[in-house]
Amino acid sequence: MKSLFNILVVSLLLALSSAYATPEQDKETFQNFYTEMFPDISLEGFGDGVYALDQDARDQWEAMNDFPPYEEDLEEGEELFNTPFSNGKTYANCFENDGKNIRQNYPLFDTKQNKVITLELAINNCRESNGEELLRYKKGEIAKLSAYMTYTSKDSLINVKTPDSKEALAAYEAGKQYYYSKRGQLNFSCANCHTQNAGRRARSETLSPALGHPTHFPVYRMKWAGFGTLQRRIDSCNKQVRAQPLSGQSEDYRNLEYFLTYMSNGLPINGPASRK
Amino acid sequence: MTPSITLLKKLSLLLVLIFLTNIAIADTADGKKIAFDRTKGNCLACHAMDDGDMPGNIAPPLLAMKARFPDRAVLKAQIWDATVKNPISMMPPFGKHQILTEVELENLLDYLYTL
Amino acid sequence: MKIKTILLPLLLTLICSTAYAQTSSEAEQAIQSADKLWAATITAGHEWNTIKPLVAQAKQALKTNDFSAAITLANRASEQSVLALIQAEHEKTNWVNNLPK
Repeated sequence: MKSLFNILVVSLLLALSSAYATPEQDKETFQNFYTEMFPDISLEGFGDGVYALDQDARDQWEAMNDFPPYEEDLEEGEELFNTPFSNGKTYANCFENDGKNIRQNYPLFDTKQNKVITLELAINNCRESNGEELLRYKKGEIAKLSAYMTYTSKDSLINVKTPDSKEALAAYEAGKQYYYSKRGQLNFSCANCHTQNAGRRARSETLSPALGHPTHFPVYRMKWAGFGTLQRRIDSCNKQVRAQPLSGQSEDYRNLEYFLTYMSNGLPINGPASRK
Repeated sequence: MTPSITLLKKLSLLLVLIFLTNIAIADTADGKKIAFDRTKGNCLACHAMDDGDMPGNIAPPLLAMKARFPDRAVLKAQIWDATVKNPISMMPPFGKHQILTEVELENLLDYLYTL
Repeated sequence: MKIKTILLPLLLTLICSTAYAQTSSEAEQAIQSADKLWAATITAGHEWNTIKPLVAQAKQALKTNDFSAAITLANRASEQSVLALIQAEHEKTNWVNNLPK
């Protein structure tokens, strides 16, 4: 009787496996989905977004990158990073390895605060603990700082720790649910465009695969004429489906970034990047 | 009946006919506008259709609509809320979510049946 | 006769002003319930960006004493908020269908 019960439980779990898979299983399924859909693209190739899929667009993009449009802003980011706070300390004092080559470890789950900490939130936490005013999220100084910290992490493989507590897992699951839920008046999920229809075109715009999204942010978008963080880009998605964007570092956005970055574990950091 | 009255009758009938066809043409022209408008139907985002420039390729081209949807109610239901048939359909529920008004939807249908 | 000539306009103004007060409070009420439903969509994490402008337009119409427009706009904001809440409820289970197979 007990074994029959066990069989029942196991088969039920199998039936629900994709919804209740472990994060590792999710990542496998997620990455396999894209590598099977685009067999010609290497795993790290996905870090180039649409430019991995569209040769014409890639040629234009590479031409643009001969003189990267973000050079100045990136230099400013470095300066900001090295400028001491009024108490004499610097960002380097707040982070492991003096804040160099650490982007690949974010977001991380802080078990003391029981929340997801993105790199941008960590930057502001650092400022707060040094008595400095908080920076506005999504663009401006915080994006420049974050871009510089991404730059010093180039080629390191994304290494978001597998959620290992009940709370971390709940945050991960919430981010996962956000990604797959339809929202906005137009009723789109992130997955509608960036999973199911990745590589297809909405008018003349190729829809980028979600795998590799987090490798290259902050992105310098010509449309923005400046750097924007991943959450700023998600704002644009939300507006396009007629959903109201959330405030920077809101719980939903942090959880989404946690899930999305975990899905790209193992891909090299290749940001900051430029986009049209 | 005098011939002049018959002529008058014929002329007025013609006028009424012209008037009616004009309404029909106006309807489908409005429907096309709605279909192409990015803030309304924005059909070209996903479907190739008519003389639309640079259509998307997410969904099948819109042609031979009469043959594919002999029942207008079926096509209307699909535009009203495509998630009834497919829960993850990417097609926005134009009627259900008030993206288009009832009148706009009917005009759009008139136009789609000219394709 | 004299009383009638005084009473009639008086009665008319009374009717008019109650009608005015009624539509004004109806508009305020419609906006209040729109505000509530809109807030509920935010709590549910499914706010549409179409709702906020409708509520703002309704409030603007109320300010200019265009009560019928205020009511129409507020009601549309309420309807869309309800639709967003239905979406939120539906996606609590439907999101699973989006998972890659």
